[in-house]
Amino acid sequence: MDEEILKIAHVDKERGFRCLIERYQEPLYWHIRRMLPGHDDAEDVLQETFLRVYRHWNSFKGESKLSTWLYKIATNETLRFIEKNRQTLLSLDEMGRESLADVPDESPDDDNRERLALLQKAIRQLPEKQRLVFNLRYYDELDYADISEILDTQVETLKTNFFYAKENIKKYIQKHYERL
Amino acid sequence: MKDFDLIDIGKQMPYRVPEGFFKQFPDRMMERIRAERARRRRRWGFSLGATAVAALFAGVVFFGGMGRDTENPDTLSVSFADKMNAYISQLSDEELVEQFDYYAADVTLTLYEEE
Repeated sequence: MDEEILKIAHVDKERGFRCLIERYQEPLYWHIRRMLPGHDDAEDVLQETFLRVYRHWNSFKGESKLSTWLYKIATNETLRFIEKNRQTLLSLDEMGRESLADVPDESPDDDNRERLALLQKAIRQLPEKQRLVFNLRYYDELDYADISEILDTQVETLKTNFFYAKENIKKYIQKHYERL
Repeated sequence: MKDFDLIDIGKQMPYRVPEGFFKQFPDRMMERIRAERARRRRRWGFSLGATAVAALFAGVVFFGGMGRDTENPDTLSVSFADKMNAYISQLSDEELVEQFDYYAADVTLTLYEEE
């Protein structure tokens, strides 16, 4: 799929880029959204990500996977956004206005819906690095070699981060789950 | 206490996305890219224009009448704007970006392009 996109982009950049957006918009959106509370913020960052990809398209030499390169840009854009809006994002969290209440209507049942929301809350409590590693590994199912490139971190450190992330999530959920 | 298992919870995201978002997003994104490209062309044209004006000014100051049309001494013989427009229109996006990055590094030029 990625090779196909690159081939198309080589002949017709605009068409190739459209294919790239269609292929990666959902995984990148969710990668960003897991780090940010609201849809609008996630959309802004997603747009900035694709804009940056477009601007630097010629610098992609195929030395890494296309997906890894895209995730790296999306991650950097997300972290930049968080840094820039740290105060606002914190106050949103504190006020409990984050969109955890925005649960899909088609969610299987109330109990699982609450568990899904609780899991997201637990992930939000993690230190930034643990949160990123956990999301990339658990949700995006990327291997450690790819995550290592995305986060510029050694594989061993990532494994440690993932281990502690799971432990922290477990602790948080066990503490709060009994109240459900 | 209830039992907890990550696997039982699953990977579903408990967030709502506006209806049709992923269907409409590629069009919106491509629109933004086209706008960005047009903006860059304008900004780069402006930078090049500032360079041309500076070069013209330097030429007039240092070389006096050397740049003037011999048949019509009151007008300049070279139409910088026309040449510039022709030059910009033949550049690819990649060349524009390269040129823009080069000129963006020039403080004296970027001073004029604050938005």
